[in-house]
Amino acid sequence: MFKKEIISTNQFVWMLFSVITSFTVLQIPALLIFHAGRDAWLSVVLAWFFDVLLAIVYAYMGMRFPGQNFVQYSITILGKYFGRVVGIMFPLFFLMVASILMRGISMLINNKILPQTPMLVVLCFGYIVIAYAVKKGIEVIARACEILGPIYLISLVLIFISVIPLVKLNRIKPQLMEGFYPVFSGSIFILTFIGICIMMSMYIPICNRPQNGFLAKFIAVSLGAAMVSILALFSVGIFGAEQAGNMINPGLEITRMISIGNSIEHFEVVWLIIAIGAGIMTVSSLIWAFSLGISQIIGLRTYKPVVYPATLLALVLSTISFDGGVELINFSFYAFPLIAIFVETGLEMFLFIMALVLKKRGSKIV
Amino acid sequence: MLLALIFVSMIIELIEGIPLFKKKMWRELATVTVLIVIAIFLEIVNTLGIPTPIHILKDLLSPLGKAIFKHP
Repeated sequence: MFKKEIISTNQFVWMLFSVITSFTVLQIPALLIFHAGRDAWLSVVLAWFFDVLLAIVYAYMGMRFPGQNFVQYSITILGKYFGRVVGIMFPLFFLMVASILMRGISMLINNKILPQTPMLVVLCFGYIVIAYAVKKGIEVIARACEILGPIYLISLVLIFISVIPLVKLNRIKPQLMEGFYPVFSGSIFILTFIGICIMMSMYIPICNRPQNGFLAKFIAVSLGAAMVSILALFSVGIFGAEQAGNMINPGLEITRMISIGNSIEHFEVVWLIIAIGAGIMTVSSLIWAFSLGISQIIGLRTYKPVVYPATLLALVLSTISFDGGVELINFSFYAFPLIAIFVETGLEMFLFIMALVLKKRGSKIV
Repeated sequence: MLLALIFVSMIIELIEGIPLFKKKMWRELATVTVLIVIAIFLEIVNTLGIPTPIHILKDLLSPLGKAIFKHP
Protein backbone atom coordinates (compact mmCIF):
# COMPACT_ATOMS: atom_id res chain seq x y z
CA MET A 1 0.00 0.00 0.00
CA PHE A 2 1.03 3.63 0.50
CA LYS A 3 4.60 4.35 1.52
CA LYS A 4 4.27 6.04 4.91
CA GLU A 5 5.30 9.69 4.78
CA ILE A 6 5.95 11.42 8.11
CA ILE A 7 5.93 15.12 8.96
CA SER A 8 6.79 16.75 12.28
CA THR A 9 4.46 18.99 14.33
CA ASN A 10 6.66 21.95 13.49
CA GLN A 11 6.29 21.29 9.76
CA PHE A 12 2.53 20.82 10.30
CA VAL A 13 2.31 24.34 11.80
CA TRP A 14 4.28 26.03 9.01
CA MET A 15 2.38 24.22 6.27
CA LEU A 16 -0.93 25.48 7.66
CA PHE A 17 0.57 28.94 8.15
CA SER A 18 1.59 28.95 4.46
CA VAL A 19 -2.00 28.11 3.51
CA ILE A 20 -3.34 31.16 5.38
CA THR A 21 -0.51 33.43 4.21
CA SER A 22 -1.09 32.49 0.57
CA PHE A 23 -4.53 34.11 0.37
CA THR A 24 -3.69 36.87 2.88
CA VAL A 25 -1.25 38.33 0.39
CA LEU A 26 -3.76 38.12 -2.48
CA GLN A 27 -7.08 39.91 -3.07
CA ILE A 28 -9.05 38.42 -0.16
CA PRO A 29 -8.36 41.10 2.53
CA ALA A 30 -9.53 43.77 0.05
CA LEU A 31 -12.81 41.89 -0.47
CA LEU A 32 -13.23 41.63 3.29
CA ILE A 33 -12.64 45.37 3.78
CA PHE A 34 -15.04 46.10 0.90
CA HIS A 35 -17.69 44.10 2.76
CA ALA A 36 -17.06 44.86 6.44
CA GLY A 37 -15.36 48.27 6.12
CA ARG A 38 -13.64 49.47 9.29
CA ASP A 39 -14.81 46.36 11.15
CA ALA A 40 -12.88 43.98 8.87
CA TRP A 41 -10.33 43.18 11.57
CA LEU A 42 -13.16 42.23 13.97
CA SER A 43 -14.49 39.79 11.34
CA VAL A 44 -11.09 38.09 11.29
CA VAL A 45 -11.07 37.76 15.09
CA LEU A 46 -14.56 36.22 15.01
CA ALA A 47 -13.55 33.90 12.14
CA TRP A 48 -10.50 32.81 14.17
CA PHE A 49 -12.83 31.86 17.04
CA PHE A 50 -15.15 29.84 14.75
CA ASP A 51 -12.19 28.15 13.12
CA VAL A 52 -10.74 27.07 16.46
CA LEU A 53 -14.13 25.53 17.33
CA LEU A 54 -14.11 23.71 13.99
CA ALA A 55 -10.53 22.56 14.62
CA ILE A 56 -11.69 20.79 17.80
CA VAL A 57 -14.04 18.64 15.68
CA TYR A 58 -11.35 17.88 13.10
CA ALA A 59 -8.79 17.04 15.79
CA TYR A 60 -11.33 14.84 17.60
CA MET A 61 -12.14 12.96 14.39
CA GLY A 62 -8.42 12.56 13.73
CA MET A 63 -8.02 10.92 17.15
CA ARG A 64 -11.22 8.84 16.85
CA PHE A 65 -10.02 7.42 13.53
CA PRO A 66 -6.25 7.02 14.06
CA GLY A 67 -4.18 6.96 10.89
CA GLN A 68 -7.13 8.00 8.73
CA ASN A 69 -7.83 11.26 6.92
CA PHE A 70 -11.37 12.48 6.18
CA VAL A 71 -11.49 10.65 2.85
CA GLN A 72 -10.72 7.37 4.62
CA TYR A 73 -12.96 7.85 7.64
CA SER A 74 -15.91 8.92 5.49
CA ILE A 75 -15.68 5.40 3.97
CA THR A 76 -15.32 3.86 7.45
CA ILE A 77 -18.37 5.77 8.74
CA LEU A 78 -20.72 5.68 5.77
CA GLY A 79 -19.69 2.50 4.03
CA LYS A 80 -18.06 1.65 0.71
CA TYR A 81 -20.45 3.41 -1.65
CA PHE A 82 -22.01 6.41 0.14
CA GLY A 83 -18.72 6.98 1.97
CA ARG A 84 -16.92 7.31 -1.36
CA VAL A 85 -19.55 9.79 -2.64
CA VAL A 86 -19.02 12.00 0.45
CA GLY A 87 -15.25 11.39 0.60
CA ILE A 88 -14.58 12.44 -3.01
CA MET A 89 -15.97 15.92 -2.29
CA PHE A 90 -12.91 16.79 -0.19
CA PRO A 91 -10.33 16.12 -2.94
CA LEU A 92 -12.54 17.84 -5.52
CA PHE A 93 -12.75 20.88 -3.23
CA PHE A 94 -8.95 20.92 -2.91
CA LEU A 95 -8.61 20.78 -6.70
CA MET A 96 -10.99 23.73 -7.07
CA VAL A 97 -9.14 25.77 -4.41
CA ALA A 98 -5.79 24.95 -6.06
CA SER A 99 -6.98 26.17 -9.45
CA ILE A 100 -8.52 29.36 -8.01
CA LEU A 101 -5.46 30.16 -5.88
CA MET A 102 -3.04 29.56 -8.74
CA ARG A 103 -5.14 31.77 -11.00
CA GLY A 104 -5.04 34.52 -8.35
CA ILE A 105 -1.26 34.26 -8.01
CA SER A 106 -0.69 34.32 -11.76
CA MET A 107 -2.96 37.37 -12.06
CA LEU A 108 -0.83 39.13 -9.44
CA ILE A 109 2.38 38.19 -11.27
CA ASN A 110 0.85 39.18 -14.60
CA ASN A 111 -0.31 42.58 -13.33
CA LYS A 112 2.74 43.54 -11.28
CA ILE A 113 5.85 41.79 -12.63
CA LEU A 114 5.27 40.35 -16.10
CA PRO A 115 2.57 42.45 -17.82
CA GLN A 116 3.66 41.46 -21.35
CA THR A 117 3.77 37.71 -20.65
CA PRO A 118 0.61 35.69 -21.39
CA MET A 119 -1.02 34.39 -18.21
CA LEU A 120 -0.94 30.85 -19.56
CA VAL A 121 2.88 30.92 -19.60
CA VAL A 122 2.95 32.10 -15.94
CA LEU A 123 0.47 29.37 -15.00
CA CYS A 124 2.42 26.67 -16.84
CA PHE A 125 5.71 27.51 -15.13
CA GLY A 126 3.99 27.66 -11.74
CA TYR A 127 2.38 24.28 -12.27
CA ILE A 128 5.68 22.72 -13.43
CA VAL A 129 7.24 23.69 -10.07
CA ILE A 130 4.14 22.40 -8.23
CA ALA A 131 4.12 19.07 -10.08
CA TYR A 132 7.82 18.61 -9.31
CA ALA A 133 7.27 19.37 -5.60
CA VAL A 134 4.27 17.03 -5.27
CA LYS A 135 6.04 14.24 -7.13
CA LYS A 136 8.84 14.46 -4.55
CA GLY A 137 6.27 13.89 -1.79
CA ILE A 138 4.71 15.75 1.11
CA GLU A 139 7.87 15.45 3.22
CA VAL A 140 9.74 17.65 0.74
CA ILE A 141 6.91 20.21 0.69
CA ALA A 142 6.87 20.14 4.51
CA ARG A 143 10.62 20.78 4.75
CA ALA A 144 10.34 23.67 2.29
CA CYS A 145 7.47 25.15 4.35
CA GLU A 146 9.49 24.72 7.54
CA ILE A 147 12.22 26.92 6.06
CA LEU A 148 10.01 29.43 4.23
CA GLY A 149 7.20 29.78 6.80
CA PRO A 150 9.28 31.62 9.47
CA ILE A 151 10.75 33.85 6.74
CA TYR A 152 7.21 34.85 5.66
CA LEU A 153 6.21 35.52 9.27
CA ILE A 154 9.28 37.66 10.00
CA SER A 155 8.86 39.54 6.70
CA LEU A 156 5.20 40.29 7.41
CA VAL A 157 5.99 41.45 10.96
CA LEU A 158 8.80 43.73 9.71
CA ILE A 159 6.53 45.17 7.00
CA PHE A 160 3.81 45.87 9.57
CA ILE A 161 6.29 47.49 11.99
CA SER A 162 7.61 49.70 9.16
CA VAL A 163 4.16 51.10 8.33
CA ILE A 164 3.02 51.80 11.92
CA PRO A 165 3.86 55.57 11.59
CA LEU A 166 1.50 55.80 8.57
CA VAL A 167 -1.54 54.42 10.42
CA LYS A 168 -4.12 57.10 11.36
CA LEU A 169 -6.26 55.90 14.27
CA ASN A 170 -9.19 58.21 13.40
CA ARG A 171 -9.63 56.29 10.11
CA ILE A 172 -10.33 53.10 12.08
CA LYS A 173 -13.00 54.74 14.27
CA PRO A 174 -15.96 54.41 14.84
CA GLN A 175 -16.34 50.64 15.08
CA LEU A 176 -19.62 48.74 14.43
CA MET A 177 -21.22 51.79 12.83
CA GLU A 178 -23.20 49.59 10.39
CA GLY A 179 -24.25 47.19 13.14
CA PHE A 180 -23.08 43.63 13.75
CA TYR A 181 -24.25 42.00 10.47
CA PRO A 182 -21.27 43.09 8.28
CA VAL A 183 -18.88 41.81 10.98
CA PHE A 184 -20.70 38.48 11.21
CA SER A 185 -21.12 37.88 7.47
CA GLY A 186 -17.54 39.11 6.94
CA SER A 187 -16.37 36.55 9.50
CA ILE A 188 -18.17 33.78 7.59
CA PHE A 189 -16.54 35.02 4.37
CA ILE A 190 -13.00 35.04 5.78
CA LEU A 191 -13.64 31.79 7.70
CA THR A 192 -14.16 29.99 4.40
CA PHE A 193 -10.62 30.98 3.38
CA ILE A 194 -9.00 30.31 6.77
CA GLY A 195 -11.02 27.08 6.70
CA ILE A 196 -8.87 25.73 3.87
CA CYS A 197 -6.83 24.63 6.88
CA ILE A 198 -9.13 21.58 6.97
CA MET A 199 -6.01 20.29 5.26
CA MET A 200 -5.07 19.49 8.87
CA SER A 201 -7.18 16.37 8.51
CA MET A 202 -4.85 15.19 5.73
CA TYR A 203 -1.79 16.03 7.85
CA ILE A 204 -2.88 14.44 11.17
CA PRO A 205 -2.45 10.81 9.98
CA ILE A 206 1.06 11.54 8.68
CA CYS A 207 2.15 13.66 11.67
CA ASN A 208 4.65 11.97 13.99
CA ARG A 209 2.51 13.13 16.95
CA PRO A 210 -1.15 13.01 15.81
CA GLN A 211 -2.30 14.16 19.27
CA ASN A 212 -0.67 17.54 18.49
CA GLY A 213 -3.07 18.13 15.59
CA PHE A 214 -5.20 20.66 17.45
CA LEU A 215 -2.21 22.46 18.93
CA ALA A 216 -0.57 22.75 15.49
CA LYS A 217 -3.75 24.10 13.95
CA PHE A 218 -4.31 26.49 16.86
CA ILE A 219 -0.81 27.97 16.54
CA ALA A 220 -0.99 28.23 12.75
CA VAL A 221 -4.46 29.75 12.65
CA SER A 222 -3.67 32.17 15.49
CA LEU A 223 -0.53 33.39 13.71
CA GLY A 224 -2.30 33.54 10.34
CA ALA A 225 -5.42 35.26 11.68
CA ALA A 226 -3.24 37.80 13.51
CA MET A 227 -1.51 38.64 10.21
CA VAL A 228 -4.82 39.00 8.30
CA SER A 229 -6.34 41.04 11.11
CA ILE A 230 -3.35 43.41 11.33
CA LEU A 231 -3.30 43.74 7.54
CA ALA A 232 -7.00 44.65 7.48
CA LEU A 233 -6.57 47.09 10.38
CA PHE A 234 -3.50 48.78 8.89
CA SER A 235 -5.01 48.96 5.39
CA VAL A 236 -8.02 50.80 6.79
CA GLY A 237 -5.80 52.91 9.06
CA ILE A 238 -3.56 54.00 6.19
CA PHE A 239 -5.93 54.31 3.21
CA GLY A 240 -9.38 54.52 4.84
CA ALA A 241 -12.05 51.82 4.50
CA GLU A 242 -13.46 52.99 1.16
CA GLN A 243 -10.15 53.29 -0.66
CA ALA A 244 -8.69 50.06 0.82
CA GLY A 245 -11.85 48.14 -0.09
CA ASN A 246 -11.58 49.22 -3.72
CA MET A 247 -7.92 48.23 -4.04
CA ILE A 248 -6.99 44.93 -5.66
CA ASN A 249 -4.26 44.19 -3.15
CA PRO A 250 -4.02 46.61 -0.18
CA GLY A 251 -1.05 44.73 1.30
CA LEU A 252 0.99 45.36 -1.83
CA GLU A 253 0.05 49.07 -1.76
CA ILE A 254 1.13 49.26 1.91
CA THR A 255 4.57 47.83 1.11
CA ARG A 256 4.98 50.42 -1.66
CA MET A 257 4.71 53.17 0.92
CA ILE A 258 7.67 51.94 2.98
CA SER A 259 10.70 54.13 2.61
CA ILE A 260 13.64 53.89 4.97
CA GLY A 261 15.75 57.06 4.89
CA ASN A 262 14.51 57.77 1.33
CA SER A 263 17.05 55.25 0.07
CA ILE A 264 15.66 51.77 0.85
CA GLU A 265 12.37 51.38 -1.02
CA HIS A 266 10.37 48.99 -3.25
CA PHE A 267 9.46 46.56 -0.48
CA GLU A 268 6.67 45.25 -2.71
CA VAL A 269 9.26 42.76 -3.96
CA VAL A 270 9.23 41.16 -0.49
CA TRP A 271 5.43 41.00 -0.64
CA LEU A 272 5.50 39.34 -4.08
CA ILE A 273 8.10 36.81 -2.90
CA ILE A 274 5.82 35.89 0.01
CA ALA A 275 2.80 35.69 -2.33
CA ILE A 276 4.48 33.47 -4.89
CA GLY A 277 6.34 31.27 -2.39
CA ALA A 278 3.44 30.66 -0.02
CA GLY A 279 1.06 30.24 -2.96
CA ILE A 280 3.22 27.62 -4.66
CA MET A 281 3.64 25.73 -1.37
CA THR A 282 -0.10 25.83 -0.71
CA VAL A 283 -1.10 24.72 -4.21
CA SER A 284 1.47 21.90 -3.92
CA SER A 285 -0.17 20.76 -0.67
CA LEU A 286 -3.61 20.98 -2.26
CA ILE A 287 -2.59 18.98 -5.35
CA TRP A 288 -0.96 16.41 -3.02
CA ALA A 289 -4.21 16.19 -1.02
CA PHE A 290 -6.25 15.80 -4.22
CA SER A 291 -3.93 13.08 -5.59
CA LEU A 292 -3.86 11.21 -2.27
CA GLY A 293 -7.62 11.52 -1.76
CA ILE A 294 -8.50 10.32 -5.26
CA SER A 295 -6.05 7.41 -4.90
CA GLN A 296 -7.66 6.37 -1.62
CA ILE A 297 -11.18 6.64 -3.06
CA ILE A 298 -10.27 4.45 -6.02
CA GLY A 299 -8.02 2.18 -3.95
CA LEU A 300 -4.70 2.71 -5.72
CA ARG A 301 -1.41 1.39 -4.36
CA THR A 302 0.30 4.80 -4.65
CA TYR A 303 -0.75 8.38 -5.41
CA LYS A 304 2.43 9.28 -7.33
CA PRO A 305 1.17 8.38 -10.86
CA VAL A 306 -1.86 10.65 -10.33
CA VAL A 307 0.25 13.77 -9.64
CA TYR A 308 0.95 14.89 -13.24
CA PRO A 309 -2.62 14.31 -14.51
CA ALA A 310 -3.97 16.10 -11.40
CA THR A 311 -1.69 19.06 -12.04
CA LEU A 312 -2.77 19.13 -15.69
CA LEU A 313 -6.42 19.13 -14.61
CA ALA A 314 -5.78 22.01 -12.19
CA LEU A 315 -4.00 23.93 -14.98
CA VAL A 316 -6.96 23.47 -17.32
CA LEU A 317 -9.42 24.56 -14.60
CA SER A 318 -7.29 27.64 -13.79
CA THR A 319 -7.28 28.59 -17.46
CA ILE A 320 -10.86 27.97 -18.54
CA SER A 321 -12.86 28.79 -15.42
CA PHE A 322 -12.45 32.56 -15.35
CA ASP A 323 -12.42 34.99 -18.26
CA GLY A 324 -10.86 37.77 -16.23
CA GLY A 325 -10.04 39.23 -12.85
CA VAL A 326 -13.56 40.52 -12.18
CA GLU A 327 -15.05 37.06 -12.72
CA LEU A 328 -12.49 35.51 -10.35
CA ILE A 329 -13.25 38.12 -7.67
CA ASN A 330 -17.02 37.65 -8.11
CA PHE A 331 -16.62 33.88 -7.76
CA SER A 332 -14.37 34.26 -4.69
CA PHE A 333 -16.82 36.68 -3.06
CA TYR A 334 -20.25 35.21 -3.83
CA ALA A 335 -19.97 31.53 -4.80
CA PHE A 336 -16.80 30.18 -3.17
CA PRO A 337 -17.84 30.88 0.46
CA LEU A 338 -21.01 28.80 0.04
CA ILE A 339 -19.13 25.84 -1.46
CA ALA A 340 -16.47 26.13 1.24
CA ILE A 341 -19.00 26.28 4.09
CA PHE A 342 -20.68 23.16 2.71
CA VAL A 343 -17.43 21.19 2.52
CA GLU A 344 -15.45 22.59 5.46
CA THR A 345 -18.27 22.74 7.99
CA GLY A 346 -21.31 20.89 6.65
CA LEU A 347 -19.67 17.68 5.47
CA GLU A 348 -17.36 17.39 8.47
CA MET A 349 -20.18 18.00 10.98
CA PHE A 350 -22.27 15.43 9.10
CA LEU A 351 -19.43 12.88 9.39
CA PHE A 352 -18.94 13.78 13.06
CA ILE A 353 -22.65 13.29 13.87
CA MET A 354 -22.85 10.08 11.84
CA ALA A 355 -19.76 8.70 13.63
CA LEU A 356 -21.44 9.38 16.99
CA VAL A 357 -24.85 8.05 15.92
CA LEU A 358 -23.50 4.90 14.24
CA LYS A 359 -20.89 4.48 17.01
CA LYS A 360 -18.11 4.13 14.43
CA ARG A 361 -14.52 4.23 15.56
CA GLY A 362 -11.20 3.58 13.85
CA SER A 363 -8.97 0.71 14.89
CA LYS A 364 -6.02 1.64 17.10
CA ILE A 365 -2.60 1.75 15.46
CA VAL A 366 -0.13 -0.52 17.28
CA MET B 1 -4.28 25.53 -26.61
CA LEU B 2 -6.16 22.29 -27.32
CA LEU B 3 -3.36 20.88 -29.49
CA ALA B 4 -0.75 21.80 -26.87
CA LEU B 5 -2.88 20.17 -24.20
CA ILE B 6 -3.22 16.96 -26.22
CA PHE B 7 0.55 16.95 -26.81
CA VAL B 8 1.30 17.41 -23.07
CA SER B 9 -1.33 14.78 -22.20
CA MET B 10 0.36 12.27 -24.50
CA ILE B 11 3.73 12.94 -22.88
CA ILE B 12 2.24 12.47 -19.38
CA GLU B 13 0.45 9.32 -20.50
CA LEU B 14 3.75 7.92 -21.81
CA ILE B 15 5.80 8.96 -18.75
CA GLU B 16 3.30 7.55 -16.26
CA GLY B 17 1.67 4.88 -18.40
CA ILE B 18 4.68 2.81 -19.51
CA PRO B 19 5.95 1.97 -15.98
CA LEU B 20 2.39 1.25 -14.83
CA PHE B 21 1.81 -1.00 -17.85
CA LYS B 22 5.03 -2.91 -17.16
CA LYS B 23 4.08 -3.37 -13.49
CA LYS B 24 0.53 -4.38 -14.54
CA MET B 25 -0.99 -1.66 -12.31
CA TRP B 26 -4.16 -1.44 -14.39
CA ARG B 27 -6.22 0.55 -11.93
CA GLU B 28 -3.53 3.24 -11.65
CA LEU B 29 -3.20 3.33 -15.45
CA ALA B 30 -6.96 3.72 -15.84
CA THR B 31 -7.04 6.56 -13.27
CA VAL B 32 -4.24 8.43 -15.03
CA THR B 33 -6.01 8.04 -18.38
CA VAL B 34 -9.39 9.11 -17.03
CA LEU B 35 -7.96 12.27 -15.37
CA ILE B 36 -6.19 13.22 -18.60
CA VAL B 37 -9.36 12.60 -20.62
CA ILE B 38 -11.33 14.81 -18.19
CA ALA B 39 -8.75 17.61 -18.65
CA ILE B 40 -9.03 17.38 -22.47
CA PHE B 41 -12.83 17.12 -22.26
CA LEU B 42 -13.04 20.29 -20.13
CA GLU B 43 -10.88 22.16 -22.63
CA ILE B 44 -13.09 21.01 -25.54
CA VAL B 45 -16.21 21.97 -23.60
CA ASN B 46 -14.76 25.45 -23.00
CA THR B 47 -13.74 25.81 -26.66
CA LEU B 48 -17.32 25.01 -27.71
CA GLY B 49 -18.63 27.67 -25.31
CA ILE B 50 -20.40 25.19 -23.01
CA PRO B 51 -20.25 26.19 -19.29
CA THR B 52 -17.58 24.43 -17.24
CA PRO B 53 -18.28 23.06 -13.71
CA ILE B 54 -17.01 26.25 -12.02
CA HIS B 55 -19.22 28.40 -14.32
CA ILE B 56 -22.23 26.26 -13.36
CA LEU B 57 -21.41 26.52 -9.64
CA LYS B 58 -21.02 30.29 -9.98
CA ASP B 59 -24.36 30.70 -11.78
CA LEU B 60 -26.14 28.49 -9.25
CA LEU B 61 -24.71 29.96 -6.05
CA SER B 62 -24.04 33.62 -6.85
CA PRO B 63 -27.65 34.82 -6.26
CA LEU B 64 -27.64 33.30 -2.76
CA GLY B 65 -24.11 34.60 -2.12
CA LYS B 66 -25.17 38.10 -3.20
CA ALA B 67 -28.08 37.96 -0.73
CA ILE B 68 -25.85 36.87 2.17
CA PHE B 69 -22.75 38.95 1.46
CA LYS B 70 -24.58 42.08 0.33
CA HIS B 71 -22.63 45.29 0.69
CA PRO B 72 -24.08 47.39 3.54
